[in-house]
Amino acid sequence: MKNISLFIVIVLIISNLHFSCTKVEDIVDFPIKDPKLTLNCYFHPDSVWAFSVSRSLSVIDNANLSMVTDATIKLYENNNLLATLTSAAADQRYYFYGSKPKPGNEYKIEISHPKYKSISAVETVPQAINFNVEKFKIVDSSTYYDYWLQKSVGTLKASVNIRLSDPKGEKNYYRLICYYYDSIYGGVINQVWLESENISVEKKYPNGLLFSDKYFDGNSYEMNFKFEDYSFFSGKTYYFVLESMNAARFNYEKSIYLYWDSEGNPFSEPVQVYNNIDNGYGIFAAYNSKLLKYYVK
Amino acid sequence: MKYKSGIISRKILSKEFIFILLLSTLLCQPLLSQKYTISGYITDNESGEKLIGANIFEKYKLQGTTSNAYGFYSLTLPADTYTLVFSYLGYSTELRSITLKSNLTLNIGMKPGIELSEVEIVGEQTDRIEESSQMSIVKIPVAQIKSIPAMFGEVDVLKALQLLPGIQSGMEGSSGLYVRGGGPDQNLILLDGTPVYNASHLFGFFSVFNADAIKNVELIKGGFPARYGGRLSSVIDISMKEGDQRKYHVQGSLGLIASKITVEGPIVKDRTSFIISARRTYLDIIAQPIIRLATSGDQRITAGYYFYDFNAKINHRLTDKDHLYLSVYQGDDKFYLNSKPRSYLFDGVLYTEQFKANLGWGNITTALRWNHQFNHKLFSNTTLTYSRYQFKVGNEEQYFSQVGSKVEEESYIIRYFSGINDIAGKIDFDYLPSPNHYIKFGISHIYHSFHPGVSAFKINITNVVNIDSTIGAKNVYAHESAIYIEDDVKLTANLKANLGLHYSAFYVNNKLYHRPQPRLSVRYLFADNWSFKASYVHMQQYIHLLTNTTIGLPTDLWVPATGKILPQNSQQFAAGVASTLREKYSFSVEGYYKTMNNLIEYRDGATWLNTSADWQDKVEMGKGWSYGMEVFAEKKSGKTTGWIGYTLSWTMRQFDNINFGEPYPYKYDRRHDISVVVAHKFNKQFDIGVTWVYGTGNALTLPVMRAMAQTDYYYPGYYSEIEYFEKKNDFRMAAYHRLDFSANWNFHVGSADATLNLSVYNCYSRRNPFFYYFGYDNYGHRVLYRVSLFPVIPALSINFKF
Repeated sequence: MKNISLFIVIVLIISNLHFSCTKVEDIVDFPIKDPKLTLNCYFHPDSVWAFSVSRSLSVIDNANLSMVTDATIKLYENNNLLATLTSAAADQRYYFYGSKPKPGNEYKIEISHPKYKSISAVETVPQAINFNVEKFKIVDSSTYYDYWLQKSVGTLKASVNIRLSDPKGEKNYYRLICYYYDSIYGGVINQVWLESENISVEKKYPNGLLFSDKYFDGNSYEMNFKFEDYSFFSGKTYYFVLESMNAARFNYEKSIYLYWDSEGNPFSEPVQVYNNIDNGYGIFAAYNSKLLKYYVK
Repeated sequence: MKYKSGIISRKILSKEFIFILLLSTLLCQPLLSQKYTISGYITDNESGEKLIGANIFEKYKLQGTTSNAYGFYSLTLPADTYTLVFSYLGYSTELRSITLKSNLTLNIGMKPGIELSEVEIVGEQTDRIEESSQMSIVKIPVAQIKSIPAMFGEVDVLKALQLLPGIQSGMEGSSGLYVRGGGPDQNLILLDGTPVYNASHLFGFFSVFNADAIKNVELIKGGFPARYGGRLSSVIDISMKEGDQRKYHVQGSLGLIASKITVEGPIVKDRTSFIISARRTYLDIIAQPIIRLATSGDQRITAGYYFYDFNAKINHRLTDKDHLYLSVYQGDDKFYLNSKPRSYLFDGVLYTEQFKANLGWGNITTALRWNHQFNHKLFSNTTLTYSRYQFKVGNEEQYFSQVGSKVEEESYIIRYFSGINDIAGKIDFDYLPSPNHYIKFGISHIYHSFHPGVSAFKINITNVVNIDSTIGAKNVYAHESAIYIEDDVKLTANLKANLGLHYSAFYVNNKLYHRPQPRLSVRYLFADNWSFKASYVHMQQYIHLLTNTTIGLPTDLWVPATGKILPQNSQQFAAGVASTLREKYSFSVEGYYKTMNNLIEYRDGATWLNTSADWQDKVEMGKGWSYGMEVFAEKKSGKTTGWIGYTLSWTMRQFDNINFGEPYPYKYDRRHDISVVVAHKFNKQFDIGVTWVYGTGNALTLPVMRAMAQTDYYYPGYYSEIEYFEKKNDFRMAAYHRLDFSANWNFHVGSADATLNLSVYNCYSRRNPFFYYFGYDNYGHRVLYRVSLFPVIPALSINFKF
């Protein structure tokens, strides 16, 4: 509200000034770029291969973005053709069930379509990194008895330390999230708010802690963060997930959240969303993960 | 015998003669090699104003010097008889014959403006561009600035500088200066030795400098002498007039949007003088009736904008060797929007609401200076300065509800504040031991106070909530010191050099930065009137300006180097040739290469509005480089004067986390920049001025494509549409070009001189781009719009002087 008010003030004032200035608007010839294929695909050793292919449009093209359901997708594993997909399923995505991504393997995707230039991307599945919760110190917990749920519910704030062993000699990127299943609402996954002042953590991302091994390459590293759950109840199980990923997904995650955070604000710097697709747009990114259950009494 | 005696006598005579000759020579030797110094002040004979950079040389031996920033000169020569020549552009040359047998004080009052045939200004072309050891330096006489056509008739010092090669304006109408690929924070703008942090009114459409109060403008864009430091790209040294020491004058102008008045004169004749100058716009007064018509009754609002400048200076001669100067400047810009309280009755309750909004920024500068002449060779200037820049924006909303005598209030007050204050002291010495050396040395210290963006909130709802809080960056305090020495030395008849060392240090939050910065420029004369020049400088800057690339606003923040954000530094190489042709024309071609490190820019997605985040977390550090060639041809005297300037340049930036680490063109990377400035005097009554400028369009970041992006991989079927900006600054705005014209009719009204000025800005109404945005046309198609601000703008103003 505060920022919006300031913004309104300034807009009003500037508008007042320009009211007295002659202003001319001309439509400018803007180069229209040909549509390109867009691929969205995250893959994980436990996931089924799923590809979403759509077409991009020029920023001044009013047509709707649409899925491309008749592209030809070729998937390679360590340069060996793994699958050829030619039509999408009912949900407009392409699936391959023949095998799952394997850690350490390189996967290349090539997508072609008669109307668009072919696109491609390459990614290697990172290894999962072990970690453990070294400390879970409750800082604040305030609960009340919910008669409908027939249990104590409330807020839980904790200071948590995890330790992980970072592989040496390679650039590693991570995301730490924590979630729980909301059994009251049919098992919906809800995420817990995590925040950290740690120097290696990229801040301001709502979904977990994004960080790299820039400051602890090859070392065992202990990281502290704040943990806040506003739907706590006694006897809840939390799932800590440490995802390991490559630079592509790390840069994409950072940029896409920045983009949404600043969208519509004329005083924000433009945000370039990361893209690792040759001749196209989107993201083709591998990740791995380790899961740790943590029960809070 | 006699014969023998004669022979003997001749022998004795020869030896004696030789001995006497030798003895005489030995005795006379001290007399022959004894040197004495002539020193004094060069002033305007009518007003007593000191003349800066006047030339003094011996007519036959051609040894000479120039007057310093306070009109002082010193020339040491062997004992002999000389003819000294004193010259200054726009003044008649003075000759003095002297017999130098002891140190001599010789003050010269120079008569302004010879006019041959009553129209042609002739100045001795002794300020020859090829003579100086310094390169990349330009001095524009204020009279020439006043002859350049101006927007709304408002003569502008910084806009005149933008017409020089290597110096670019930012965007349409802006007074910002971008020098050899540097940013707007990299210019040290000095007003009587005091830094001015924001030299712009009305978002940069005008500068804060009132040309009627200015005596001298000098710009250095490379080859910086060691006495300057603290900024990477340029030094703009502006000196105020001191005030006429002999007669009172009043001059002023009445224009379409602003008027100004200057009063100067002696307090004690030939000892103490003053000058006071003021300027104010009246856009707010003009707009009031229009706004009143547009908003009436309960909806009535008052709104407006104005800016003002106030300059004042007192100049006092304590003794023949001591002068005191006190100068002050204050200027502000203010927007305001106030609503009339609006009341209405509903359901037995009387409701009243009112709102106010304001936005303002401004500078205060103060300088107290003491000149002291120790002896004929040593001169000092001691300066104490205070500079303050601040920016404020505020919004107040108040709602009252009244039942009977019971009143409840709901009010929301938001205020944002940022600024910078400096308190500084420095001592500079000029030491001229001989005609071959001009040594300057000195020391300075600045105490900075930074206020990098604070928001204050007050929310008061009767009996419900009362919040009064402040968020934002804490004030930061820093010390900046510097020491320097330089020598302008004549090595041989053809080779001259300016060698110097500037050493500075910066202490902030227990962090110390320091660096020696070598400075070198050389000049080699070949042929009669050609010289080759080269320079190398290393510059260090301890403060940064955070500037939003989307729209230029006075919200730009001055911030210090910190433990996390390093000082910026640069190295610049330049080389070129310069010549004076046919005594009237000067010509130069210069090439330069400049690298800059530790530049800062807002990160992707960052905004100055978010004061809850530390500014250091909103920026990236990176580097930049710029190279190019500048051609400058000028005619300084005659009925027709002016110049042509052309710059061909490339300017790039590279930040690891911007544009995915790839180099990209700087926003103000301008491949070609051309300016043509011509002034012609037909006769004493009528003269005209024409300027034409051309520049390649600025670089801009625009989205090119729309595509689907996965919203969250936990919910794979959900996508959002996003816009892709493929590369930063890969779109070019349309080229900028503009023709301006002005005409002056000079006449007398009683004892007063008056000038009617007609100026036409943008004569062929070129629709120069101001900004671009995506919108929809009348058919609902998405299109890219280009907004242009100023079409042809004629203006009339009347200037008077008596």
